[in-house]
Amino acid sequence: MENTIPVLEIKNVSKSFPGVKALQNVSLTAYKGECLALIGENGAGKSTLMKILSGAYSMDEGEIYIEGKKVNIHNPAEGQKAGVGVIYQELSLVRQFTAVENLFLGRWETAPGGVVKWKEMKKQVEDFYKSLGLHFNLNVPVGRLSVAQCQLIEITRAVFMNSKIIVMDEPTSSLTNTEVEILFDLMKRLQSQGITIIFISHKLEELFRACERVYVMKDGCNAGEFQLRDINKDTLVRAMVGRELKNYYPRKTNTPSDKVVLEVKDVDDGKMVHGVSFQVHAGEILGFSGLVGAGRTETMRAIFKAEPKAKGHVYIDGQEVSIKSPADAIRHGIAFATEDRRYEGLVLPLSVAHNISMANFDSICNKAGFINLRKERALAEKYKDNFNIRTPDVNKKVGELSGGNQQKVVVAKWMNTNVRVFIFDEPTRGIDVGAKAEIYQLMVDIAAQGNAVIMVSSELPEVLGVSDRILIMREGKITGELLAHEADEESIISFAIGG
Amino acid sequence: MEKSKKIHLGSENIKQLYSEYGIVMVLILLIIVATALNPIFISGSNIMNVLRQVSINGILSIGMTFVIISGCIDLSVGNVLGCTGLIVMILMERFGMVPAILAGLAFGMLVGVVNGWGVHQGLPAFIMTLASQQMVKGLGYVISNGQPFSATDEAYKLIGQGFMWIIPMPVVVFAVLVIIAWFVLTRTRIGRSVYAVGGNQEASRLSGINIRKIRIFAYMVSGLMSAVAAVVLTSRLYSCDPLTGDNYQSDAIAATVIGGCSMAGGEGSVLKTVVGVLIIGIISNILNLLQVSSYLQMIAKGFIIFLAVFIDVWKNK
Repeated sequence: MENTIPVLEIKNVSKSFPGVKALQNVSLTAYKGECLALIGENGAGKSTLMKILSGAYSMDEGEIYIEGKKVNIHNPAEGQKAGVGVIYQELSLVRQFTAVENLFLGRWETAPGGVVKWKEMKKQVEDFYKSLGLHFNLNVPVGRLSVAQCQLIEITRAVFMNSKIIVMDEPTSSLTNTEVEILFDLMKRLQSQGITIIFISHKLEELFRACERVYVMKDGCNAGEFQLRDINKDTLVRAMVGRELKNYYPRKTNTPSDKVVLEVKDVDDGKMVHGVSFQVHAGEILGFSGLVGAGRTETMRAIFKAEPKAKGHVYIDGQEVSIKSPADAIRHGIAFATEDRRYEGLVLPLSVAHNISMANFDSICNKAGFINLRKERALAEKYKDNFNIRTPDVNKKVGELSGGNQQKVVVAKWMNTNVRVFIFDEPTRGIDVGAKAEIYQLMVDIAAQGNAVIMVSSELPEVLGVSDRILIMREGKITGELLAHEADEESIISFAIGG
Repeated sequence: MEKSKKIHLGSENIKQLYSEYGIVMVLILLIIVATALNPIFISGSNIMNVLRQVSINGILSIGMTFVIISGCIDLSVGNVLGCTGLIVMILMERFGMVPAILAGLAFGMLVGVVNGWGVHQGLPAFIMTLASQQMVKGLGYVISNGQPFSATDEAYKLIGQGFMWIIPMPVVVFAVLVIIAWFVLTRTRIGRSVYAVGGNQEASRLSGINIRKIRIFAYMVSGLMSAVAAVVLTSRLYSCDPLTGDNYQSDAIAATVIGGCSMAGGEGSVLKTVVGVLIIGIISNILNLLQVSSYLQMIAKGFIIFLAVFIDVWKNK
């Protein structure tokens, strides 16, 4: 093989965001025609590194060489020119255009007078796909093709634009098994043409199948490089997680009681959730694990009635409650910190204080609906102190806070309701390590007050470190139940992927 | 700390200063310029005159502030004003003044409820209120047959032409409504919910806020304000025709945006809207005092709207 010629060399790249060191002295080499896996937990710096490579971010320090030449990439156009094509999870095709139009997007070939040479372009695309052994309907808008086909077109577009390095960010997350096979097949063909692929995925099985080498990132640093044929999954997971879990996760001060706080029966949303039933006890933290798309978030949205069409029975402290809207759910003591705090959790232009009070106006209003501003301020100050929300003033707009502090505001907002059941969906996504530990501590405290806590998380160490009990979902059903002390990553994964 | 802030007037600091006090500084500057151009401007009678002239647009802008803070827009206000005026004129003849006024106010609120309902159903606010604007305009022509109607009760004149001490009644009405609106927006749960829904509808829904109620409420306030403006204006003119109020929405939107309401929703204040209303009013007053043609005034006004929105976009970048 020609796997000895370095195509991409990243040397000592560092990048900081306000309050977070996203990358510290990262160096990475990728060789011609190889498929290099890039893995790490959320927030480990994978996407930051790739965004620097593509030109979406600029680095603070460091150098990048492509085919031995130093390149300066300041924007995505320069990244493209340097030969880097990045395929993000969201497709960037123009849905109303055909594959031909998309492949030539922005650089249509024209005859004198500005007339587009459609025939020649279509011929080129046909030949190109023939050489790859692929076949698409080139006459219809890509919006009418399947998601998988769009994904393949997107990848081949990068090749068509002469990219030497193609970065794929979780390319298989929306594909079925057969479609994944087609993708892997295409990747092999591209490799044989000398194209280097950087493959980002959380699904470890896929890496072992598709890649030769793996580069592990952790907390913005290199945490190891391995030949995949030399190692097994355990080594990889250890390299990924490899921090002292002892003081990172909080110590439980209580044990769950036998009293059932929340029971749900036959929750079904008709799409992603099929007949889910479970119980949560007082003082318990129940972890929900599973792959992305297994229906965990959708289950929680159904219980909270965020989806108007969802069905199911909900019992709180033994009483069946009728929940027709999120307002009903809140009234019955359910709190739901959603996975996307910027779009579903917070009103960014409003102040910290206003966000904290908005789920329970009764806490700051009299019977006529008049707000007592002094009471509101005192309430916000109380949570600011108790939760250690770092803001100079509770009247500051919440959009100006860091991710971790925003998440604490979300928790404060829900604690200000008469909470009995607190659902956290991906509570630590996109926040730094220090704030994570604080969020975990809050969860433990909430449970210790005799409430039921549910945590949906895709990060296995987090599920293992915080939960008392773990339910695993796959394809809209609960497929496994484990007590935290008898669970490990492998047992969870085997339920999640249905091995 | 304070000093270094002032020394380094980078674009970030200018943005922040502008979004807090900028619009008030513009108003003060404008008053100084106006006085320098024509000293008559600062005379007591001219100032009362300006205030009376702006109060109709001011009342409409209060309603517009509710709608824009909730993240929408209301293009129907001018024609609701005209149609309500005709309804009041026509009913006054048969049923007397008070029932006519109450019917007019109810009509304004009804249009608001329909607008709010339609927007909640998912129609873009721009299209929904454009449609209702056309319907209401047509309704005005239908009930009036295209003819002007005159009021029929001398007491009706008091609202638009009367005085309280030396202050014209329209200004009194405007001021009272501003105070109520300010209180509702800042000190009541429904007002706060208007901000929340405008700032992030999904987060508000998941926090238990009834989105439909808030949408309908914001538009209902706007419809009600249009109807109140109709009563004040027709009282002043003592008549109404189907063209009354036509295109008034553009000044109301302009005043609200100049006052710093974000078109994206969730931000704004009725007091700042008042400043926006005054700025528009003073500019037309100066141009009138300088005897600039009304055609040129249109261009000037259009340019000011452009400038205000341009600054809004720039400060949010």
